[in-house]
Amino acid sequence: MTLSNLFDRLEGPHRTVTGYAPDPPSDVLDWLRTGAAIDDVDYRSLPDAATADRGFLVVREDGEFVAALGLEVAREFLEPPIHDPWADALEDATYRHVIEVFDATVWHTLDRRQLLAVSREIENRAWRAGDGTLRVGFQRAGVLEPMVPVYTRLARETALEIHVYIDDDWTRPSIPDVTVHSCVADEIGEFWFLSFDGTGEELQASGLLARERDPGAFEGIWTDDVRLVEALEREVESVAD
Amino acid sequence: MGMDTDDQPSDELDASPDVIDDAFLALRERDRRFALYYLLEHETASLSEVADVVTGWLYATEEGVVGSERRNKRYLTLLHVHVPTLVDAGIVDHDEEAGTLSLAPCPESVRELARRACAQETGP
Repeated sequence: MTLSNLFDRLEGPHRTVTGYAPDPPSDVLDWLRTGAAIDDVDYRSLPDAATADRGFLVVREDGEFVAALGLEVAREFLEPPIHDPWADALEDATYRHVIEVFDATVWHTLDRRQLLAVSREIENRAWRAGDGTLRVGFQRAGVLEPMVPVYTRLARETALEIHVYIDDDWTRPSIPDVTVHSCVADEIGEFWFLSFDGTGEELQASGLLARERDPGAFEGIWTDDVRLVEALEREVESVAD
Repeated sequence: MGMDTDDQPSDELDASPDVIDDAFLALRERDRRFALYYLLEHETASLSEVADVVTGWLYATEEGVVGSERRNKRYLTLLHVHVPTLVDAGIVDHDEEAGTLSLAPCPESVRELARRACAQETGP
């Protein structure tokens, strides 16, 4: 097994999404149609008298209601604000609901900003748990560099065990209490990934695995599924060995 | 299902004071109004979808996300309380076998009331 094998086997749940809003349909629906592996994205009108910003999405799995999500909330994820993992503003950020609802959905197109937002969500979870193992992959040393203060603080103020993987040599000063694995010429460089084992609590585990398809354009998945998070951890560890 | 003309409002139907009383009483609950607003747009919809829509419309914007537990409670309340009330007031028909709701041939004045309430309540 490799990260690529794991990635290629990913399959999301059978979901449909219906957008409810006054005419015209929201551009969020187009984004979902092209961006995500969702079986069907439909539109049903609300009366013209209704305001568009009260439109919403209904996510169904096998025809059964899973969640309703405000359209404006969904839109925020198109260009999410980025906060530090410990920031109060992150706790209140509404795009987090998008991450929650589209758990385990396979995405065809995600950009760096969206992946960073999902990464911060996982790091925030690790920060709040304060314990457990966090593994993070970076394609190059240059991408890790600006993140050093974040991981320095995460390591300093929690009991987290933090492993960072780069497809590069790390010639900078070591990061206190963070293990940097240089995995040159491995598939580490093709993926953007994070895993947090949830310190043994299933409800806390979460992971992200994304592959760069075109420069700056990723396909990927995030998940709370503990078995998938464990599989991701195993692959990362075996690649890095 | 009846013929198309069944769900057309009829000016011949008498909007007597009693009918208006019943309509106001039936529409005093938000869930019932929002269910009716959706039917005014689509004429017919499954009860299941109406429950999804009422839940999403009322809460998704304010709360960001609403899960299935609250939607399922809402579905049961619609089924057992709100829909029978709308049916008794002659505003909605419930095909229990098909699981669908549709607009009943109620007086145009009742629909007009509902449209105005919809603009007030869901509009800018």
